[in-house]
Order: sequence, then structure tokens, then C-alpha cells
Amino acid sequence: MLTVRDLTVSSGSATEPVDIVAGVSFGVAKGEILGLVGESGCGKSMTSLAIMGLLPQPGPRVRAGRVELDGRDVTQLQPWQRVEAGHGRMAMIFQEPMTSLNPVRRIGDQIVEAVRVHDDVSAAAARARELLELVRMPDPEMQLAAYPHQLSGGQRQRVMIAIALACRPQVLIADEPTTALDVTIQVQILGLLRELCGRLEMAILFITHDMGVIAQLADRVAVMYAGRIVETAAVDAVFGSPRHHYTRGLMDCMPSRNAGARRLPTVSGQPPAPGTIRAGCVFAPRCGAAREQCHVMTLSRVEVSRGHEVLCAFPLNGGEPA
Amino acid sequence: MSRDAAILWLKPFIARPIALAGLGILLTTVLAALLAPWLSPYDPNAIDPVIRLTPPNAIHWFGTDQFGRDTLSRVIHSARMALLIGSGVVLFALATGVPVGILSALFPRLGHVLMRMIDVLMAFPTLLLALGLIVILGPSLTNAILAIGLGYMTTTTRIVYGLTLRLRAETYVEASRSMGAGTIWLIGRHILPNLISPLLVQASFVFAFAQLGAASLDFLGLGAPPEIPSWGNMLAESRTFVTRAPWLLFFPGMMIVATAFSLNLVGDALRDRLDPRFRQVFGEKG
Amino acid sequence: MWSFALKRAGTTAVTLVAASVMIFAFIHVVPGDPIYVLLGDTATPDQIDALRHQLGLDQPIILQYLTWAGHVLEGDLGRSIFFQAPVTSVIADGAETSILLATMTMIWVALIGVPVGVIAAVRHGTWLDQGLSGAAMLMASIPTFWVGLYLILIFAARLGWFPSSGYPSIFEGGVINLRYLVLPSLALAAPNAALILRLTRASMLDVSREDYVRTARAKGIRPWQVVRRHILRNALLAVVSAFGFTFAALLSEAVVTETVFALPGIGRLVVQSILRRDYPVIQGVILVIVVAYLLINLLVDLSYRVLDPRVELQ
Repeated sequence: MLTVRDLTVSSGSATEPVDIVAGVSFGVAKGEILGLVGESGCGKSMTSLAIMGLLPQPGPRVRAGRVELDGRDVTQLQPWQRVEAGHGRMAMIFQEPMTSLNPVRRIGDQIVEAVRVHDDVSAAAARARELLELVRMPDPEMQLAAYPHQLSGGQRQRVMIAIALACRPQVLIADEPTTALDVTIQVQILGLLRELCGRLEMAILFITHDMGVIAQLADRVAVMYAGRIVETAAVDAVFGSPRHHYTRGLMDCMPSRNAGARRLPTVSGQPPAPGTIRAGCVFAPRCGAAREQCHVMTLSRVEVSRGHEVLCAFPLNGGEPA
Repeated sequence: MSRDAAILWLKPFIARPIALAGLGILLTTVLAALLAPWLSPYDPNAIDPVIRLTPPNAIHWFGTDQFGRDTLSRVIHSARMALLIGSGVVLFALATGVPVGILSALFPRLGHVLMRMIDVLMAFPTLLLALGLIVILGPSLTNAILAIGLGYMTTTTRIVYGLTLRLRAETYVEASRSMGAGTIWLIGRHILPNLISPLLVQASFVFAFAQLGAASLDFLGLGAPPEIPSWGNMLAESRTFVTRAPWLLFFPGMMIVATAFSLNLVGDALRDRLDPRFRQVFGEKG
Repeated sequence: MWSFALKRAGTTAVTLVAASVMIFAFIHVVPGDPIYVLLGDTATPDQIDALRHQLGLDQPIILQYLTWAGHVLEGDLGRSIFFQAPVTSVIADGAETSILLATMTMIWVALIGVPVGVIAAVRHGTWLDQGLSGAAMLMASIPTFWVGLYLILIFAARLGWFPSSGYPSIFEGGVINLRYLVLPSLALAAPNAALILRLTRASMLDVSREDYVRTARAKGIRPWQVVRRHILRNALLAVVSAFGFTFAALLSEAVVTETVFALPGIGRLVVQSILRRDYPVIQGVILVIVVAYLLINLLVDLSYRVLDPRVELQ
């Protein structure tokens, strides 16, 4: 449903581009949730904004690559341009439900505004109500007249989802939608997304830094590091036998996997800043198993098993180095 | 200032040609003020009724006024008055605003009272405050400086107060406080050094506004004494001859505009290189 | 809302009382005995004693202030030495000109400052934006009286489109007399429009970085609709307060402009009263302007709260 090929997002000048996202490729199928996971600053948010056509201006831009929505090229198109071109069925929800709604306009108006982009004006109000019911908003009739500050964080995120659903999306991008919420609310929102994904047959690209959320929600995972996707696989495969050393490191940091540990292990060192990246594997400087060639050789993606790709010259094998 | 620091300060100007031009105009004005007796072709006060109201020509580049005085020489000499008023107002605003602002931020009880007093002063529009003070003190150069300075003392105090509150809340200041640092040491080591850049920005803006304020007072006949050449006085005198001798209006006015504009450009460029946390105090976010 | 309004009104009242003390003190610190100040140089000793007693100047200073404040509250600001008339009526005579001038100025400011500021913000970072922002800074650096003199030179003396000085009341000559205020209001508008332009631009840019603007864009509505529905309204909320502030400041900023155009407004009254040493008038005008200034700011603050639905919670 959503296909991204060699997407490269760069800041800096045209002659000396600095790649924040470097040749990212993945696909998300109908009814599937792909978790895009990585540390903050790895380029996952930039990836999502680039796909959506919402990169801040002035700011980084898409330098190369292709984004396809249901087989149609939507690269570089802003949302309104996609709507014009008839490929408007992609929506996004954001990390901060507290600030993502206009504080001086009523909830109803804000949903109706989204509905009107795609639907007949006359039925918009009824459709807004329907959408609030769809996201299981308690007392939808009353909430239509409410202002954002009168709602809780979880309710606001439900409103955001309702707004996103207004275009009957084939693809929904969710950029850390639960990070700012309480754990109990987080579970509810994740459940809602899972349910909507199946019921509305959407493809969901779910962006998070939290492996725990991925484990709960996603069907497949793409692990991102320093602007590159270093491992892609089904959730079970990744959690069962991670093949990239970075993925392994991330999983060792999960509290649930280290129930007895006094102190959580961490991946030592810092990810490289964009622009400082040289030849060789991007993770080599932090990799415990790096060999001499890792710092110089050019890597290409390897399919280690069916549907399991990894960007590593010496991938782990069943949790142990090959 | 080390070479690196100098480069750091020049950076915003190099990136912006127009700000560099502003710096150039400013330096020219300063030079004109310092070298006025050598630069000006004639005595600015020499009267020659024969050549009165001569339009600009090869001998008198900027023409002459109603007494036959050379406009160019008077414009050059007026730069001294502009610089004097500007630096006087800036010094007054800083000398009063900085201590009041810092002390108010460090001692909340005192600060509460002082900042309320600043609020009261701010209830008076700047020009009105200046006029009221001139009435009390009588028109003179010093009093013009005081009168204009008082209006900018309030804004300077507010800015220093806001900045000091932020600095005080910052962890390293907290830490040195908890280690028993004395107030004077705190001010000297942590607060003043951090205030230098924002105060430089404020000084540029105050200097610019002081030019306009002084020109207004001069124009109303309540500023520098009429016998002293100043751009405002020259404009006040030119009023009667506006249609006959427009050059008398043009040149001094251009000088005021050029000086105020370049100061604003410089202040703007300096502000843009300020720490974003500090920029907010100047009402520009991000 | 009400508790906020009360609190805000309370601070305004305190500031006002403090300011009134300063204004009261004014007449006592001007050079010379206030009696001479009030009576002029030609007073006889009997007159002086009579007035001293009548004004209660033989009373303790606090009592004097209270008496004065009482008179002020009753609308009695004393008598003008020059006009030999109540200060209130002298000020009222100038009020028409000043208020109309300030209003007309604000119309120019709104018509120029806001739209151009919006354009600069929408074209953020382009040459157009830099040009407009630079032009605004230039406008803010030009003395109003210089602009005024040039306007007179061009539009009054050369072209003869507008009168160069004076202002006969619209109540006597009809609305056509507003043409007397066109040039002065334009001169006065220049720096203030520049201010509003910069403020509008900065405010628009601030708001356009908000998350909810990104949400609006994500919905797929057109860019100009994003600006109109989401950025503009929220950005103008901040500009509104500057409008009130500017209007209030104009009442006194007009001093120089009214002098250039010989307008019979409050500003020119101040300057002439200073030159005539008509201290009661100066005192009265300062008081009136400060009260207007504080009240307008109070109103703006309160209306700002009303415009923003978030206050319901507070």
C-alpha cells in the first residue's frame, strides 16, 4: 500500500548536502502495522514527515528516492497537492496531542475541516460525529462543541485520530502517538489503532523509540540507525533472533528482558551526527563485533532469511555472531 | 577580546551585507564626530549673509542656510551632538537599569517593590515622561539626556530583570549558590558576563531611539541649545525655508535616518546571534 | 475570568494611584513656588496668601494630595493660567483633534502593517520578506516630523492635494475637514505601521511553527486556508494587544506631529503650555494621557482574554 524506495532527506546546500535520511526503503501492506524504531535523532521522524510531504520549510528536503501510495507516485507532494492529484488517502497523527490541536477552535470545527477536504459539505457534521464514535470517544455529541483544553491527553489523541480518519486513509502514519501519554491511556490508544487497522484495512507506519510498544503492536519492524534502516523483519523474527548488532543492543536495553538485572545495559557511545558519517558501516564505531573491514567497506542489504533483511557484513546468527 | 571572539562577533555582519553597511555608516559617523574640526571645510558657525540659502554647489556641497553657514560643516559637527546624546542616554539607561534589574531579580522582596515602581514609570509614554522632566529640570543638553534616558531605563531594567531571573534559575548558578557563593561573586562571575551580549543589543536599540528622541526634543526647542549645531536643531530652523531651501531639510534628516537605521541594523544582527533563550526577552522568539 | 479581571483592575488602580502621586508632585518640584506657578508672575501678596489658603498649601502634604485627588475625581483639574479657563475644558477642546488623528493613524497602521506583515511572514526567508522587513526597520528609523515636513513639501506645497496645517472641527465644517488630518496621520503612521508589521510577521512565524498548524496542513487543506483559518487568527490575537498599546501611545507621540502640522490637539497643547509655563495644563494633560493609557491597556488585556477560549478554565 505504501512503498518507500531509497528515500534520502538532506539539509545543507545543494552542492554539499548532509543526509539526515540516507536511502531508506520499506513497504507497508494493507492491514499491516510496520514499526519504525530507532533512537531519537536517527531520522525516523524526518522519514515520516518526508513521506507525508510535511517537511518544515525552510528546512531539509527530499533529495532522492520515491514514495508510492497504492502504486501512485506521491513523492514531494504536500498533503493538499496529493488531494488535488486524487491521492489524498494518507494521514498522520503526531506525538504531542496537547499542542497538535488548534486551541482557539472547537473540536467539531477541526474535524469538519478535515472531512470537507474529501467529502460533501452537507454531511460533514454528521460524519464528524461518526468519526468520534469510531475512535470510541465518550459522549461524542458534547465533545464536538468542546475546545481542546477541555479534553484529556488521551481524548485529544482520539480526536487527532478522528481527524486523520476523515480522509478514509489507506495509509496512516503515527509518529510516537503515545509517547506523551500515561501508560494506561497508551494501552488504550494502541488497542484502538490495532483495531482500526484491521477494521478499516489501513496500512499503518508506526514510529517509536520504544521496543516494548513495537512488541505489543507491530507486525513487522524496521530498525533505523543514523538515517539508515539496518534491519527489517517480522516482529517475531526480530525479537526471536535479531541479526544486526544494533538491534540486539536495543533489545538488551528493554526492561522486560532484564527483569533481574540491577542495572540496565546500554548501547555505549553516541550515534554519529549527520554530516560526520564516513565510509564503512555506520554502526561500526559503536559495534562490539566490528572488524577492520567494517570501517571501510561498502555495505549492501542482505536477506538472511525470507523477509528478514539486514545491513551488516557479519550479521548475528541466532543471537550469536556468525 | 581574543581573535576568535572578534570573529564570532563579526560573523553576523559578514553573513548580512546590509548589517555590514550599517556598521560602516556607524563608523563613519563616529569618525566624523571625532575628526569634525579637520573634516569640515568651513567653520560651522561662520555667518556670511551674502551667500545665504545657496543651493548645493561645488564650493558648498550641501548648500548654505539662512545665515550663510555651510550646511556640510554643520552636519559634520552635529555628529558630535548625536554621539554625545546617544552615548549619554545609553550610559544612563545601563547605569540605572542594570543594578536595579539585577538586584530586583536576586532579592525578590526588594524586586517586587522596584518592579512595581518601574511599572508606574512605564505608565508614562516615553516622550511625555521626557517632556515632564524637561519642564522640571529646564531645557539643557544634560537634562535632555536624563529625560530621554529615563524612558529607556525602564525597558533596560525589565530586560535585565528577565535575563537575571533566567540565569539565576539555571543549574550552574543554583549550584554555585548552594556552595555558598556570595552575591557579589555570583553577579560578577555568572550574571554580568552573560548579560554582556544582550546588553550590547539593547544598547544599539536605545542608541537608535535616543537619536529620534533627541531630534524630537531639538525640534520642539526643548533639547540642545539652539546655538549648538545638531541635526534636530538644523531641521527646526529649516522649517521656515522648506520650500525655498529643501536641502536644509534633506541633509540633516538623512543623517538622523542613516544613524538610527544603521544602529537598528546592527542591533538586529547582534540579536540574531544571541542565545535563543535570551532572544525571547527582546520579544522575538526563535 | 472575573477573578482575573478584578486582579488586573486592582494592579491598574495601584499603578494609577502611584502615577497620580508623581503627577501631583510634579507641580511641587517645578522651579519656583507653586503659587507663583499657579498665579503667574503678576500676583499680589494678598492674592498669594488667599490662594495658598484656598488651595490648602498650608496643610500637610498628604492632605494636599488627598484634596487634589478628590478634585480630580470630581473632574476638576484646576485652572489654566494662560487661558483663564478650567483645564478640563482646555483639554476637551484638543481631544477631538487628538482622538481623530490617533484613530485615522491606527487605520493606516492596520491597513499597512497587518497585511504587509502577513505577506512577509508567508514569504518567510525570501527576498520579498527581507526587503519588507528592511523597509519596516527603515520606516521605524525616520523621525515623524521629517516625514511630516516632506509630506507637506510634496502633497501640500507642490501638488496641493491636502492642506498643510490646522484642523477646523468636523462639527463645523463637516467630514470633509478630515482631509486636514490625512498628511499628519500618514506621518504618524509610518513608524507605528513598521512596528505592527514586524510584530505581525514575528507572531505569524511563531504560530506557523505550532504543532496544530502542521496538523492543519496534514489534513490537506490549501496553504492559504491554513494561513487564514489557523495562523492568522491566533497570530492576530497577539497583535491586538499591540494595537491598544499603540493607540494609547499615539495620544502623546503626536506631540511633534501636531506641532509640525499646527493641529489644535492635546500634543501641541502640551508643548505650548511648556513654553508658556502653564503648569496646571501640563499636569492635567499628563494625568489624562496616563489614565487613558492605563485604561486602554486594561481593556486590551481583558478583551484579549475574552478572545481566547482557554481562559474558561482559569
